Amino acid sequence: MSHSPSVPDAIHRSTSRGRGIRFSGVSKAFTVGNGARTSAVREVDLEIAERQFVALIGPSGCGKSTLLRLADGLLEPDTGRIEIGDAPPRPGPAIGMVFQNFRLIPWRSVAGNVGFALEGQSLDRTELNHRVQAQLEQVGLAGWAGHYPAQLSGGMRQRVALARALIGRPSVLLMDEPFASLDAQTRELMQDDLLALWERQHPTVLFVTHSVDEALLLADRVIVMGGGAVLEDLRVDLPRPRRSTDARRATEYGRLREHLWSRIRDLVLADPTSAFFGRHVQADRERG
Amino acid sequence: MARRSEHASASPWLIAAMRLGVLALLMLLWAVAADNVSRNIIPSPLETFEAARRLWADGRLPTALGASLVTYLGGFALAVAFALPLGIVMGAFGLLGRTIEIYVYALAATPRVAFIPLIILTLGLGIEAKLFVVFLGAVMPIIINTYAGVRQADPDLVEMARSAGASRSRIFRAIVLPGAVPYVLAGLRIGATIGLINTVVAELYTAVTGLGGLLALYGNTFRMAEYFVIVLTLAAIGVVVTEVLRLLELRLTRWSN
Ligand SMILES: Nc1ncnc2c1ncn2[C@@H]1O[C@H](COP(=O)(O)OP(=O)(O)O)[C@@H](O)[C@H]1O
Ligand SMILES: [Mg+2]
Repeated sequence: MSHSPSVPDAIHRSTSRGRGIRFSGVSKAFTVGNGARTSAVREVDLEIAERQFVALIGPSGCGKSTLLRLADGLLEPDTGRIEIGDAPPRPGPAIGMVFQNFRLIPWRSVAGNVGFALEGQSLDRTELNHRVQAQLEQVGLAGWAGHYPAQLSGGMRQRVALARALIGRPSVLLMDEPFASLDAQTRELMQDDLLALWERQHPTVLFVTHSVDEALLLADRVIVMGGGAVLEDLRVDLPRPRRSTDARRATEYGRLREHLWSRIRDLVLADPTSAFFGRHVQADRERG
Repeated sequence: MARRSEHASASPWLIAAMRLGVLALLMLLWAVAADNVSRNIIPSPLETFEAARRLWADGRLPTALGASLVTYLGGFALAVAFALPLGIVMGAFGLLGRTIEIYVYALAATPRVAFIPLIILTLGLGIEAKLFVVFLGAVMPIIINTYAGVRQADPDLVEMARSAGASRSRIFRAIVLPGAVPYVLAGLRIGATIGLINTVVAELYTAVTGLGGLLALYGNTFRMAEYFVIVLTLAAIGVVVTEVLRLLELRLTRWSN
């Protein structure tokens, strides 16, 4: 598979070597309190090309986070295979992970948090500091190295988490509802920054979101999940570079949005009891 | 966290001034009480001050204070040296922790005075027995809190560290142990308080020495001014130790403002 045709050629200057993500017949179940097994991911076949930006959308509890953990190597599948490039995933700085609630280490400074991912490697102190500083500059936090997470706004904490995920120059970036807890304005800024960053470094991205608009703005491809399975795989052929303010004007955007919403309506009607999309989707709907 | 920042926003000068104000008020109440209750029961502040000067000059107060501090700080240091590693190991190895915890809780719930006859029989009446009584009082809260702090490591942070490729030992050093610090400090504070109480208990029940010994002597002979001096000295030790631990806590949790 090749990367999206709309991607400018400048991207090939990216430093990291590209790696795709491949799920083949992946299932994962958990044992719950009373000893019963609950199935979180069922028979997922999914192939994500290197440098592609894929959004993953679906109701709460449908297995999105589990799929990301599997791709990060934090969980082993019960059945099936996962490959990053041509090897099974192994947790480490070569696969970047951004969690929803930032997960910053509160007693470490911004620089200490960002450097954390590199400390397992045998870098000397100057080299480490140098890379941390460069990474902080890239996410716009150059002057904040000595601050503690408690002193930062939500958007800045998210930038720290992003810097920490990026400092290992990952070829794969996994993001689990990274902007869900940000206010609307901060969120749009972060979306634009993420797009600019992706256009520069071009990792393969698997991005979980509750928001149809966010998925359409960011991704080359939107995967709809339900009940642990992939229900729909939609290509987004909107031109790049995209920015949050102008992407929504495209007519293609309206068509895709309408289509995704009809799929989501089907999901709700098929299983009205399921804990469905949270208030973010509600908000999207009101806006749209 | 919101509470904490509210706390920090009150100026330290204001707090100091308020504390001095309360001290003045207490002195006033004390003076009034001394005037109205029989002199033999409540000595006046001035009498007490005179008694303190006498006790200090004739060397009795310094000697007793020194003896008590050796017992207290020695026993407390032993408790810390024993409880911190044990609590950490119990927390790090779940099976071991679950095995031992029940005995720790049982021992913590038993009034420690119950052990004193046994301690005297095995260790005698000297400094060993006293150190052990203090040790026994201070050790339980430190073990229990350290254990709880290590076990209650934030699972989200641990998963984040795993995702970053950290080894088990690095996760323990970088995430679990620092996360336990507030618990450990709370344990130290409780341990220090119980340790001071047990210092006096030890000095009353074993060979009568130190501040506890003077307390019994002056209490039994109704020398209330001297008795008050000893009580105030004990209170001062408590304040100093608690403040030192509080400063340590402020220093170690600067990041939380
Ligand atoms: N560690 C776990 N232990 C038990 N059940 C889990 C665990 N992680 C996820 N699950 C269950 O698996 C299902 C999918 O969860 P998750 O992947 O978090 O969904 P999503 O991220 O789409 O909301 C849910 O029913 C959830 O309760
Ligand atoms: Mg989730």
